[in-house]
Amino acid sequence: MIVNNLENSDAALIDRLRNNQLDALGELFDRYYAQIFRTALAITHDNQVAEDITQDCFLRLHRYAYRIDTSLPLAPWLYRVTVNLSYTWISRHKKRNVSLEAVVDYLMSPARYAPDKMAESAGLQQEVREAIRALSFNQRVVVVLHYLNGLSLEDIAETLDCPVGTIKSRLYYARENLRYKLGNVYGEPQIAHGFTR
Amino acid sequence: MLMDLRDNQLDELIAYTLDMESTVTPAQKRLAWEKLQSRASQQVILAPYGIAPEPCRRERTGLQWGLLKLLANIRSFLMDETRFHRAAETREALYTLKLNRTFMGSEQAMMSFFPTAYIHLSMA
Repeated sequence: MIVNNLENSDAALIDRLRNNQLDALGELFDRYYAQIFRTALAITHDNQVAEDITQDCFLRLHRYAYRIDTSLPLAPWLYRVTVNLSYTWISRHKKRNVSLEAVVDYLMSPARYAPDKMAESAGLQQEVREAIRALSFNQRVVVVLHYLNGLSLEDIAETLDCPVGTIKSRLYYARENLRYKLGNVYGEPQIAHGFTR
Repeated sequence: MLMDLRDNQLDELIAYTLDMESTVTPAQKRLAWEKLQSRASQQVILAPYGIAPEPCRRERTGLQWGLLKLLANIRSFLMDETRFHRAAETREALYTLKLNRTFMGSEQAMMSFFPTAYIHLSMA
């Protein structure tokens, strides 16, 4: 989000935040809350955890107000913090995560071939959601930042501090994973050339 | 339904699913802000990088300064060899001695008097 008005620019609000003016934090919260919450939710798939991560993210914005480079846009910093906090949470709760194989087994169960299930739009979304959830953390983050937040590959690379080629590769394999899994559920799997995972 | 997923269809499906996954209601946002506000008000903003905290200094009296200076001089006199080495470098030419074997008796005295490292004995 680019804010051109100098008085209400992110940099000006951070300057005010440095003087402990919480109304500036409120404006930044208004501006970025939805994006951060939805990003955290898409990565963690847990409402409460996403809420906690969003709170932590804005608390860090307040706490580290002096250490944020105001010459750079704020959104990538917030996304980076969100991704890092999500990673920390996921790595601590790894045992609770459903493995890829378990999700495939679940999706392949005979009950799921029922026509009424296939016709349901909510059911379809659920399948896609589960397929996204089964992606590896790195692939999921790239998918969320690209499709939910509309970031370009270059922006994602800058946010995650990775080469663009790495991001491109992660997105490619994520899409192929999703295509394969969704193809497995509803029809013949579509395997791309050279795709071996 | 998904038997022949094309790239753009897959893209739309992913984007749509992610977009529909979460909605933020005004009530949720208000509650979150209230919680954040109360937590932020109890939080301390960290100082910027590069600004070190003020060191704690005790005021010293003139006598204390004098004693410290005296101790520093004694320490320098006993421990600091740089001045000795610097002086010895220039002194080297003065103490280049040519001693014959006949002076061997006094060699011991010379060795003990002058640092041996700076005396070149030519045994003619």
